[in-house]
Amino acid sequence: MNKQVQVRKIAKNWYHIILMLGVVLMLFPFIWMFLSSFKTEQEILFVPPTFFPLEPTWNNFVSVCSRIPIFRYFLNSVLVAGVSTLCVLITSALAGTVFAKYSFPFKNLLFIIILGTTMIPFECYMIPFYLMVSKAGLIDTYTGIIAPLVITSFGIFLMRQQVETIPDDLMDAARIDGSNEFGVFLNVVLPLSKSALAALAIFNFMFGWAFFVWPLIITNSSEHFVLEVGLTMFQNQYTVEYGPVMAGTAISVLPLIIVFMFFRRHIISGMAMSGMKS
Amino acid sequence: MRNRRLMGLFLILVLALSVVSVVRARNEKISVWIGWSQLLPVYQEAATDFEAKTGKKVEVLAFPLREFERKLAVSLPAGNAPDIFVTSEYIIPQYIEAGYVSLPPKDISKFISKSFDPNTLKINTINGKIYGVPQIGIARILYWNKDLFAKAGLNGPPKNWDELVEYAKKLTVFDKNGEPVRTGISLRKFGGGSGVTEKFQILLASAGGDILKQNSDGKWRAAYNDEAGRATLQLYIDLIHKYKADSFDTKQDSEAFALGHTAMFIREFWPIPYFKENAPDLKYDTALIPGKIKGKSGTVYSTESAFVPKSSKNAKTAWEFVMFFNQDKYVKKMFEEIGWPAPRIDMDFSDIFAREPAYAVANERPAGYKYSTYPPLTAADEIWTKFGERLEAAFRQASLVDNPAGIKKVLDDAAQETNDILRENGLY
Amino acid sequence: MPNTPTNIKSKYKIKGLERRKFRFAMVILIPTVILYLVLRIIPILGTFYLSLHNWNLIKLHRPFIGLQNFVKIVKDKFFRIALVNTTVFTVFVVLISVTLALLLALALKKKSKIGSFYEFAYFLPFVIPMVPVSIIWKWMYDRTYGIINFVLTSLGLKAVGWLTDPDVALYSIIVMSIWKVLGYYMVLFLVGLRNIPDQYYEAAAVDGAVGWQVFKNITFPLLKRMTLYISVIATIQAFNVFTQVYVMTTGTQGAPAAAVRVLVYEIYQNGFRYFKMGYASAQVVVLFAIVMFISLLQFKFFRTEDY
Repeated sequence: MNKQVQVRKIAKNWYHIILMLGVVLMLFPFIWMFLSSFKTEQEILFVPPTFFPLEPTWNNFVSVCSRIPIFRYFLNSVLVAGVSTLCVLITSALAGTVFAKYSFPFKNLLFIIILGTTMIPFECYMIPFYLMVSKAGLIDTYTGIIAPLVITSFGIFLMRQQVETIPDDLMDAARIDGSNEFGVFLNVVLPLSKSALAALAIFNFMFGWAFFVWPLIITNSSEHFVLEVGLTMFQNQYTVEYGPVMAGTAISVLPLIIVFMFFRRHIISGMAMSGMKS
Repeated sequence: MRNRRLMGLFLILVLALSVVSVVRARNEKISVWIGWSQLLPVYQEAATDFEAKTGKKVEVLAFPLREFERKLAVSLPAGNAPDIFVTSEYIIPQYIEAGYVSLPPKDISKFISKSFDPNTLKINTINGKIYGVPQIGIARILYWNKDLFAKAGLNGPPKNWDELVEYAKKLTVFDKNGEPVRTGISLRKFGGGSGVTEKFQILLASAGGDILKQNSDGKWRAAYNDEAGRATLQLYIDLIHKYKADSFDTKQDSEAFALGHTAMFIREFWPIPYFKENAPDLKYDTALIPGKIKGKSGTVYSTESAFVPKSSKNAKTAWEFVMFFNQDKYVKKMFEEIGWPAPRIDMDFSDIFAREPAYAVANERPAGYKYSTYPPLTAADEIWTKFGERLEAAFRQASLVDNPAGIKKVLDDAAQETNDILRENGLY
Repeated sequence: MPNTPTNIKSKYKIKGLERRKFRFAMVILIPTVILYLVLRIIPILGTFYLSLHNWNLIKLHRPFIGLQNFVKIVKDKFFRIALVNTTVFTVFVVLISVTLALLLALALKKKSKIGSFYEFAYFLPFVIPMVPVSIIWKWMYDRTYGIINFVLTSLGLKAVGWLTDPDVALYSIIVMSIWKVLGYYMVLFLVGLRNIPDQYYEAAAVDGAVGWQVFKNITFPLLKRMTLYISVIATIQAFNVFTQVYVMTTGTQGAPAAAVRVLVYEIYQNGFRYFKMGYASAQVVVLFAIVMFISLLQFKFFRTEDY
């Protein structure tokens, strides 16, 4: 018995060595990026490369901040990611509830169509969409940037999965208490879906933050640039200035890492709550 | 009842979105798009000065070249283009043809025809008219490392291909495994698709060849599958595989040259300020591209001009700014600090040449030195990209050494593809 | 309505309730459908429409040409190469990432402090946008300055042109893509694993089942749905690979496009570089058909096996 425990323990530790190696591989690119963003332009091109910056410098960050209005871009990114997340939460929760708990004609067909639209990446039908947005006069507006992000099939799917786990009895009990359907949604469905909504919110925020090709096409003035678009200024056709590029990348990535660190539990438990089992 | 309120909520959501899009400033502001972020500081300086002088705001936006081209292609037809954009003589014809580009006012047309060199004017003339104000005219040149040349007992740049090969051989240094640690020349062998063809075109021009040729009936044909083309491909193969004077495994291009990892390479003028900043101790000079035979040579030449689209609501101010930017101050700054020479014949650049002799080659154009340009065809990018991919593959084939039949086949197959693309576009 | 309490007025109530519920459903559904129509369906149908035209982004003459674009695709060598590359990419990424994710999830099944650190570390790459991640990897893959080659050479191995060597480039992008998605699939598997009630394992332990047998007889069958879900989204995502290829092929030190040409990249080139939007749209339609077909196949494959 004792021996078996020991053997198990060793086996367990053995796992951990591999897992830890994996962690190093997973985190290395980010560590490399952060360390490099503090290196001088010369040191970045050292052969062989240095790991820790020899003479740490803020120059790359200063250069980024002085050459582009990075704070403005940052706020725009927050706005685009934030507003789109809010929209997705509302649309997903409502539509997910309806698909989970209500019956109406063509329900399955509609749901399949909604899921089917995820099979084509947005970039592939961007031109017809651009022409529509252009006709609507929304080029170079926040509305135009956010428009494709206000609804996602993933959100509806996730919320449908989540709401399906809520027992009908609970909803009916609320109805007997005199609540109307929207009240049921507000007082029963939403409180029970908090984790899933949190997970969805974080996913969507990150998705909105990463959105690149569309804002690039549709924004024509610097005041509407999001961070990812603004940072392309450091890539020119001939040379890449790795120092500022790494600093800019670090600036754009850091908020996400922080958000993720704080809300990681919600993502995973949110996905667990929503079950995805049925 | 409440349900209706909910419907209202949905509508409010949509409305709120529209409100979020801040009311855009209505004061007169013109926008400029460029595809070269390195030019941004000079343009921004001019914009600031322009605003101080006229009170009119100018916003200059730089995008990476490919994103710039994409934005232009999407926004010009939709009427969302900026007031000014800067692009090359081979990109603009398709937009002119479709009627998106406006002609400059008379006085500016006059300025153009008397201020720029005839070659620049010639390649920028479309249907007898010049639409943009040229800003930049760049010929590709050879860079050579003086220290490395001296060490190899050479005291000047190669004058023809035989010397080019001989020098490259002498300048290459191998390690104990026979791998080159320093290459004699860094040719463009991969990366960026069309870029490979662009560089191939330079040596092709120095052998008297061209990528495409136009027949008298206005139709186009692949031209590189001729004597000059085969010689050029063989030059690449010989340098890479026969003499190992170039390598896939070392650092390439300007970075390699800055680090002393290669002794020669071919580029535009922008590496000059790049070396000044990143490799101040580098001793180098520039030269014309050596010809296949002495006394006859050529290179690739391209221009960038500022255009105003018809959709611009501030065309008058836009042209005003274009002319404002054409003052000595900015033109010279762009030349000296960024390495983008303007093809102006009415301006004296001798002070720049005195400070930075490597630029002086911009002024040299002996008889028999031919300028090759990119054809003004929509299909050109596709042709360049696809030929470039074939070249990339061919450069890796050691079996092409001393194999004229193999070289001929590579080029003949590629030419067939090129002609197919031309045919598809009704240009064949 | 099996659970509705019955009373004398129930009939009316149910009728009223049904109507209320239906109305609520419609109030939500109609705006949702409208949003979908405007934001997704109409642009997608627009793409289908473009695919029947010789639709150049810049030229104003855009004639209807029927199915000619599709005929061209059949003969298009580049499309074929892209299809092959995308398939290779998808097979490697899906098989390796799903297998690794499952193994990781099994190792991390029990909740613990260190376990949640692992979850954090493995999930992080998924959270970070593809563009910056690709830029970092591009630099790590660099032939001369890249840290990977530095490690190799200091171990006495030969440096590799990770992105510049046409035989290697696609696999470099595969490795990077697995790195990016691994954590996501791992978390999904974790969700599935933790949803398996403990009684099953207890029962198995009573029967004396250990290790592989437990996995084969209990874990895997109960994970089947999750595996289906993961493999479907993994396949769709892999088939639509674009951003990392795009970033890693640009620039003079970039990967040779011919070696890493994937479908969406090819579509992008045709549409936005050569401006052949009609032809690119036809390729979108074909891509859509392929992805749809594979997804259906996967559903079928997992469905037909007994539960």
